[in-house]
Amino acid sequence: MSVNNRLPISSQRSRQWPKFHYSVKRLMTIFSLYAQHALEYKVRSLVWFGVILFDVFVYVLYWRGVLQNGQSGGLWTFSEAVSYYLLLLVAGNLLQIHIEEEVAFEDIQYGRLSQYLLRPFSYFRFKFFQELPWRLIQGGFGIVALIGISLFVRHIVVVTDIYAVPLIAAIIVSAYVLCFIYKMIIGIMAFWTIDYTGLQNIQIIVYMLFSGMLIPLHLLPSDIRAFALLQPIGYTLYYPVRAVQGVYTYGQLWQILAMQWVWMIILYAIYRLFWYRGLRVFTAVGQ
Amino acid sequence: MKRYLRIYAQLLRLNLASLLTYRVNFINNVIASIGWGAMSLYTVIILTARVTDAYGWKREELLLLNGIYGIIVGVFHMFLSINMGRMSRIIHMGELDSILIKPIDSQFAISLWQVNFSTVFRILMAAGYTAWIIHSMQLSVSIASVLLVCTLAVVSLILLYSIWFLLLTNLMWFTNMSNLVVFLYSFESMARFPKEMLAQLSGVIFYVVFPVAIVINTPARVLLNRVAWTDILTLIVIAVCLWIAARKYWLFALRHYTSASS
Repeated sequence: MSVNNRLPISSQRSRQWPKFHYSVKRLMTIFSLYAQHALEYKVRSLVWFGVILFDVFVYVLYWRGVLQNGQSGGLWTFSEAVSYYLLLLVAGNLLQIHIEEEVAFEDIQYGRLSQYLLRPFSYFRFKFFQELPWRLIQGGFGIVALIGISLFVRHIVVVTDIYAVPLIAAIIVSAYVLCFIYKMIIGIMAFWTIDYTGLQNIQIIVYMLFSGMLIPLHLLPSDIRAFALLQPIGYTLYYPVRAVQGVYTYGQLWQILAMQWVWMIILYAIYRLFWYRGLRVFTAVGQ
Repeated sequence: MKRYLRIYAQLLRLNLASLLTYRVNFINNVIASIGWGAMSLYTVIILTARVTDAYGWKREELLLLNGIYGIIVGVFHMFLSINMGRMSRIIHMGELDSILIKPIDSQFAISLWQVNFSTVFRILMAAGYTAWIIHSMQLSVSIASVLLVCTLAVVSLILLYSIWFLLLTNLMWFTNMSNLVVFLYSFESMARFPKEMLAQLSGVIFYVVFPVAIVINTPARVLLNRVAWTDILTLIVIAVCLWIAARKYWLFALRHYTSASS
């Protein structure tokens, strides 16, 4: 029997508390360090924001021309299109994680992962808190732009039921975590590739198609719609945006949240499996 | 001129040698290139799936516009944009000195050093798709119109290059913005939509995006027998003006290069 087990429970708790406290402090330090980094390079964040802004802008213009003729089979109106793409501007900046390139290129392919492996904390958590400030800054740009645009554009439709807000907030947070796990899996695939560029490009294509960045998933052709609505990538952008638009009932919101958690558990299990298998083939001298 | 052609032939040989050395890399890039080509075409198929026309362009015409986009942008990515990505990295890391000390023109060296051979497959795919659309639309295409399209495609490439180069030259002052290249890919994708769509934009914004709007629209209009001589002239004049501006701006920017990285 270990010494800890012989101590009274209250004493064990008091010993675990500092450990937890230091762990939180450590993660907050990582967060604040990378927040400084993100603030220093805020111009880069602005350019990334501009990329999504531009795409959104083009699609809104396109749908304006199309919906003037009363087309699209009555499935959505111009107001819905404008709301969808403008909310996508915020969601794309806030929820779309970009950690995979760094994990693949800098950490695995250049062999820098060994530095993290020697440190007394989880690589997964480190990357999570490293990415968070970037998302908050870019998401901030998105929110400012959305508020600015909504002063001139009267078409933005958002949820009005105040009681649904906590549930939608939970969906947004879950979407962030889900996207993070998904991108980490993509990043650690670099354990088994010599050149990651091709895989990265394929990943971008799949993400654009199945996240709802291009077009809302419910407007996809019928042959891929059912699959697109079920797969995990849709739960990272499409469902949160539609939830903020207020198109779902309470029951549907709970269902979305449950599905996000199911996908999170499945993807996290896949991540753990790939991580431990990948570490066995990692040479620490680059790929 | 002869000297530069000889140098370029040598660069092509070097790029080919690199391609044969890293074959897995090449296969990966081929898959990615075909993927992007397919994605570009599929985007329009999806966007027009429930639509019969947009801004006066029928669905088939929009698909044709995207076929032409695939060819011209494919050639641009094969010979030019790969070097633009390299240019942003070089300036960001303060490595431009190694190019400036070479006894050749710095703009030539920075713009044409690398060739992305894997994009050939994307170009072939887009060309096949364009031919199929032309056939299915039963368009009458003469040799003269094909020659005109090819000439305008070259002018469009010059215009695209000038826009990219002008904007990336700003990295001499704003070295942190090396991800501007990604923005330019996004900016360039606007060219696959009808010019009439961009005409909805007000004043200044329209004039900013106008050069990109005519890059693909003008050659596509030739195939659709909808082009006016003023469209062709506008494309040529803007291309020449921006080409000269890009050259002058580069020479001006070189005077401000600090040799230090960001």
